[in-house]
Amino acid sequence: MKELLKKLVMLDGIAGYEDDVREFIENEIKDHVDEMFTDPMGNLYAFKKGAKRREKKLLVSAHMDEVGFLVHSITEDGMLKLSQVGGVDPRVLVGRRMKCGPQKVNGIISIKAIHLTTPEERKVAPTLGSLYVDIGSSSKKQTEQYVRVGDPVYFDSDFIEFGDNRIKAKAIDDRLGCAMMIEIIKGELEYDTWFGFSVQEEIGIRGARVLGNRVNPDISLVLEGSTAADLPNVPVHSQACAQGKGGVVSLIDGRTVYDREIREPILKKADAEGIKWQYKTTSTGANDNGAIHIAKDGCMAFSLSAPLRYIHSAANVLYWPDAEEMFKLAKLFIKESGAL
Amino acid sequence: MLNVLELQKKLVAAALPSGFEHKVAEVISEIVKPYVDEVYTDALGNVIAHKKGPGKKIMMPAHMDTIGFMATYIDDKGFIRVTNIGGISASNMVATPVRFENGVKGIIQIEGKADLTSAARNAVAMTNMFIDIGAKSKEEAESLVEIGMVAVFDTETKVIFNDHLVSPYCDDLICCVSLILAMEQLKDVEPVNDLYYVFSTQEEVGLRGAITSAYHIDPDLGIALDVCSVGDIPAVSVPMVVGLGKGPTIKIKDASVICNPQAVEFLRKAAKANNIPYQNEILLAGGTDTAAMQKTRGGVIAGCISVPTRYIHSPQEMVAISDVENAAKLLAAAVCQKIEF
Amino acid sequence: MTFKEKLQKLVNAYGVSGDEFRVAEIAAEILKPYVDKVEIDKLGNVVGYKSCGKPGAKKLMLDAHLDQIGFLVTDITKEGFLRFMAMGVDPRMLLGSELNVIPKNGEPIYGIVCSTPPHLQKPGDSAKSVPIDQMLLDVGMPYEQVIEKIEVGDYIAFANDALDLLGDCMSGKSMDDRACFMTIIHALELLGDSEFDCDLIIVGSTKEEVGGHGAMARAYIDKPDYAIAIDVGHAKTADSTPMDRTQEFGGGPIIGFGANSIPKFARKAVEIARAKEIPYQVEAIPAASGTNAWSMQIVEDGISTLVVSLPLRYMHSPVEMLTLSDVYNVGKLLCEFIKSFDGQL
Repeated sequence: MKELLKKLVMLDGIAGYEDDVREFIENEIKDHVDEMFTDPMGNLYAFKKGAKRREKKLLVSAHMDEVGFLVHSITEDGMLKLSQVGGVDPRVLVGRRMKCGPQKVNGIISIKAIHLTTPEERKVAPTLGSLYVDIGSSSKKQTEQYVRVGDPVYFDSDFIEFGDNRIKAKAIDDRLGCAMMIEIIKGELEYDTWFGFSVQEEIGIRGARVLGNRVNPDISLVLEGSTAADLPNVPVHSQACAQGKGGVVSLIDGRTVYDREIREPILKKADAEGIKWQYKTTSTGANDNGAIHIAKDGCMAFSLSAPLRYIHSAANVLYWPDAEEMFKLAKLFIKESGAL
Repeated sequence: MLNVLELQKKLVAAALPSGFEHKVAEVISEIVKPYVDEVYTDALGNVIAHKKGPGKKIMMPAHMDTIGFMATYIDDKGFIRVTNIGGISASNMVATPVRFENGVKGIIQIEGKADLTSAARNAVAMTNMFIDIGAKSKEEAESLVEIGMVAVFDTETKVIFNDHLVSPYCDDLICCVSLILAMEQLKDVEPVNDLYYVFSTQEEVGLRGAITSAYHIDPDLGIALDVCSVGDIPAVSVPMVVGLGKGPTIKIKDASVICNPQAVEFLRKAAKANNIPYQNEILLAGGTDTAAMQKTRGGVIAGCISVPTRYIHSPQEMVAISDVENAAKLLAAAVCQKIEF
Repeated sequence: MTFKEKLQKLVNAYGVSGDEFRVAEIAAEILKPYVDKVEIDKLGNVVGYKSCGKPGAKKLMLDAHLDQIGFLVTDITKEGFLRFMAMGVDPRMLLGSELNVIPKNGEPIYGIVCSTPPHLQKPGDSAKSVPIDQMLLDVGMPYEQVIEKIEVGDYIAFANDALDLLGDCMSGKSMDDRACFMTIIHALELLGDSEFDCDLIIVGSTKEEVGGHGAMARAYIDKPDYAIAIDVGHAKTADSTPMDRTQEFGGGPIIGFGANSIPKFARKAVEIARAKEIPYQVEAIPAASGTNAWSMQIVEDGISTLVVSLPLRYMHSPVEMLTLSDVYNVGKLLCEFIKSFDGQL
């Protein structure tokens, strides 16, 4: 699954431009599903039969889009001004390498050299509006041969293993969820299951709304990445979740109050099988369940995430054993929910 | 006629925050069963009480969820950290008595180093708050309260001078009371329309129960029952013409919805024909189930009757009992009208 | 009536978000000759249908909203002045402005927003912007007369009619978005009896300014495969900054690229603009477009949406400004799109 994750995070796909990611996933799963189709937004649906039928329809989903940018305008000097697609703290952009437009032209974001700044200036962080991407062009005309207004701009970030079982890459949120789903689809299922690879999550859980409308499940399992703030200067109750403690189970977030009814029996089983998991201790943020669980006449919801440090930056950090524990719990949920 | 105070006490005793409405849902289902043809719950826990009738479908939601807290972390000394469920102003919660769903009582307080001077009040967040249940250690606390358990305000429900009712959760239990009163009034009346009384869930966190139940019911008209702020108290932040004891309001607009003119007219007609006092309501902040119904499917004509309430989302809200009773009268009179639109 | 006269009639008409029936009547009248049938639904949306005559054709919806920004009466003081709240209006343009109160029955009632008399101003006051809840509307009547005619909850709108400026520039209220409704009319005029391949659904929608519910309801009912939201976009003004989302005044229709104005659809529009030599501009729409496309895109099974914008200066003021050449070019692009589009992206 690590190799699969590596391939997935190295693909580029922001909200509205998920085509490459979707094509890759389609190729991976097409020989393992009974039904597969896309909708006008670009969500990818897959239905796989299991040994048994379910009484309560289950939808498992993860989103294909990552955070990134669109070219807002091109200056007369040929620099690219960006607007963000999804939430990005502009401070993580300075000094970064980027890939621009359909040709993936190399570009960099930086600010004038420190020697040329005053202490006062250095106190203020740059805003996205003041930053620009330099592709090495000297004019607007030259730039326009390679990149246009409206083109996507991505983080350029390699997949790197480091430290104690850790991985750094972009887009682990939520290609990890996609990787897990692909692995599950390639295996055998106990019960029939619907899988949805959603689009446009980062700009407001948009694709998930249509996913929920079309599949209209009774239970929704979302596989995501959750912000782990297990850092030295953060009080424990504000850390949300920590690396090394396994998959993260949500109790409540900005768009969903999770159902105890499905959560408790499954977590009991997880404990019995020695699967490591933790509760998320904060209630901010949201994921595709926010849209799915109130689509049409509604359904029950469960969110399971991997603790990820530095989410929404080019350098997400994952502790691999957490991914393994999350995967175990995901598979357990998919199996046990058939008996609910 | 049913007694407003008694009903409110009963509902408050069973009330829990958004997502945990099962207890109060049971209490309400028992009470309303004799007034309708069928009672059932849906995927999000909404209680739907259907009184079959000819004519068009009318959906009338009052929400049974409350704002409250959920335990997210128990620290080494047995103090419980919580997150809010629904809109809670953290600095207003200091020293409030609370009660967990299993009866365990406590007080919500604020970290010593938090600054409560007026400038910093708004910056106080739930992460600065904790609940003290009197436990001496983490183990003791864990034996009483589990992570994920919810808590509500543990304050009194009583009637004070001039028939004013003081209680936690007038938002929106007092409107559930009003809805029940209307159901009782219509119990033996031949229905003109197909009536769906809905005790909705998760309104406080985004009108979620109303969204799914409106989709399911697919009504022709929606009339919600919720509370609205007033302008007749000192230091009112937003001027409003609405006051306590002058009748329920007919909502024109709140932050989530502009009521359809047909719905406003429908309610005004009923009020005038039956001599029920009413006020015009424009609420600049706050949303209601009205919006959820209006945006369903191909659009629904929607309006709302509000019970004017002081100190909304504080541990002790206040209403005039006459307003509660008149709201019920107005709703009952309105839904007996033929729908011409 | 000429095209310009129809545009003037439409923008001068009254129809604040939530109360669009009056302007809907006028829009329906204007649309009628160009479609097979037209109706006004219970929400006040105008809907016109024009079949292409081919079985199994895809459905293409063209939407422009008819509602204008406005106000509501919130209180009547004992002196007969009105307090009000605003929906979508910058309070800085209200002092001394001319408004009409629209009572349920009877003629609009003219009023002026009070401004502080000079001798009562403290030094520095004139540099501060007055918050709306401190403003008052003077309708020139004593309390007893006011309460006979006006109720809390009555709507208020800008009072001025459209104005001609140099060349083909026009300025008025409600150019947002009725000028775009007229671009659709122009498109249908140019289309005439030409052949086309998609069934057309023309919508003059309600409540865009307060969330887009009118168009969302029509998307649910009519189930289009494709929907183009034609709304106004900000044209550069003398006080714009480089990072503002603005385009050139007179530069032609603005085609949006992004999740809410999907790239395939946008590329098609650009292709057609180039092929037919229609001036056009491109803008990045990274998330919500601020148009009806946002609410329509995720209705039920999902709809492919495109945002095409008309450059407009001073949006949400009583003096919104456009140039007719942009209006005609948006219409032309829509017409050519209708003629070239085979229903597949």
